[in-house]
Amino acid sequence: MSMEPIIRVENVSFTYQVSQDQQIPVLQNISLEVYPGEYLAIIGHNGSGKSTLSKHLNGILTPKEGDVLVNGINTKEKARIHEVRSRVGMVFQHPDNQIVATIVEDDVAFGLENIGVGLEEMKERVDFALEAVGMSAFRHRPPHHLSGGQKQRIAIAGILAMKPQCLVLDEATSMLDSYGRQDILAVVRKLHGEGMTIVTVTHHMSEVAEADRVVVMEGGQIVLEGTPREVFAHQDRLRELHLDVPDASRIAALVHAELPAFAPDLIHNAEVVAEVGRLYVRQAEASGS
Amino acid sequence: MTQPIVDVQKLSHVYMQGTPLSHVALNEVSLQVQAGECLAIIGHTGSGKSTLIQHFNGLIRPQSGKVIVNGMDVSQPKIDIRSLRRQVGLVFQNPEDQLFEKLVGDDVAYGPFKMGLPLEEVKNRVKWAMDLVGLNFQEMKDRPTYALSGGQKRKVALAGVLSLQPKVLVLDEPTAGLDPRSRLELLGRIRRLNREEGLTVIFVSHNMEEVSQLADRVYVMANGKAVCEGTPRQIFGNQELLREHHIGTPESVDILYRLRERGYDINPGAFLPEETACEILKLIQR
Repeated sequence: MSMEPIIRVENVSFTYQVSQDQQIPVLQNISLEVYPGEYLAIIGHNGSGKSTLSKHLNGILTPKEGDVLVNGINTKEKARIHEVRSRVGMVFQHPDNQIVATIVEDDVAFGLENIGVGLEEMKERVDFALEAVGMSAFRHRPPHHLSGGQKQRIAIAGILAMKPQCLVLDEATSMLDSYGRQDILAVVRKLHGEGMTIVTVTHHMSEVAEADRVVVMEGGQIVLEGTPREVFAHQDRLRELHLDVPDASRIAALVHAELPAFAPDLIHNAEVVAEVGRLYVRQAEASGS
Repeated sequence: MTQPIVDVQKLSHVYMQGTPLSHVALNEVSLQVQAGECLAIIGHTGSGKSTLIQHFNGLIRPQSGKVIVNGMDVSQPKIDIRSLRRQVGLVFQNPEDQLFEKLVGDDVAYGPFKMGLPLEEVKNRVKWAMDLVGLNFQEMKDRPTYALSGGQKRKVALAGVLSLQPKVLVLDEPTAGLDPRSRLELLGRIRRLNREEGLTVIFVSHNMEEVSQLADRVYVMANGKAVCEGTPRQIFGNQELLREHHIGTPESVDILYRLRERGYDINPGAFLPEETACEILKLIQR
């Protein structure tokens, strides 16, 4: 790809020091590029290093070895960390840990106050951000009365107000019920459609199916990479890596094993339904003639 | 039927009662759990699930109605609350909330140690509990709790509760944040505790795959009421009920519903992927 990446992870290694003489390696010489407008999913079992990797993308963690460059800015440059964070925003797992203010609109404006944005522009940006996540009607409410999904949308609005180019979601839906999750996925889909770069770390394989590219991690390294369809074709390999495929893929593979005409490489529920329709019609025609 | 191990009768709870922010969390909820059962409680965010389960070990006392656990009336201020909490182990949604020792082994040992058990017994229980949740005792006992992954923290929190050898295990979102393998493994372990050790299990979940795989019986909560009860097959076969109460379905059930909406003759209760595949084969191989 000739396009310049937004984020360039170059030969990054990272260890957690657990005691004076014991270190746990978490990332081992990882290289990864994230391109503008891309929707990238990072998957891997608990402890594979994916969350640590995602925290390197906007300088929450900095590499022990190697470099992370965000639009050419090295995340080790402490003086420019605000620039890095305004370009790459991050949403975490627990909605409650990300809400700081007692009124929704104050919470969304919090980051802007910190970087000294003027009142007029602040109001515009908060309006835009709340609108983008569909939470304008809640702007004067106290956030602690909102559902988990609504709180996560507020957290995303706080990030959007900073006008980042890239949104990193670190298991942002794992504490939500399925309706809350659908809310967040709809917001992310819309932002991506408008050109936002998305990096999502998730255990939900049906979410992974929505990405353009998937990176699979194991032992602090990238062990598999491709489109969701390519990656989910490796059902056995994924199982070895403690991962899974979407139910749609599993069901398609099961049907395919009995009936080879049924496509095996389906990853979305809608595709399974459409494939049933295709074969149903074909079968009806065959028995009719 | 025998006396239920957990018996909830017309339980109500109002948060911030008497203020303008007063909010009814539970509205005359009744439910019964038999000893040895594995029961799921599902419902939309804010339906009262978490408030309900906090009554089971006396973290919240009934404002009105009754909660009787293994013969102990939780509404009585004089009951032996420590004995109640030994019988009913509660694992919270965020495992970080219940890890407070620096080392894994110490954290799991905390409960039995406080019970005044002899050191050898404490050690045996810690080993037993860590083994049950799949944490290697030798390898993990001296690991600092802050250096654990989310999945490992959850296992430590569960081991800490199991080390008290409770009769009833109450879990709030037991596998949220776990990878698929750890999720299956933990579900398998919980199921074994339930089937082989006779532990009564009550869990709250919004992961419908988990509910379909683990529960014998499901209560559906909505607006502070227990609105419906049945087997997972009965509950997931009832699309109207799930829609009305904003409850998601397993992915497989979503496929079945979509097929049914297109007019195919299909059984929406066939929620295991193998069953869904069979239903599909039946359709296109007539």
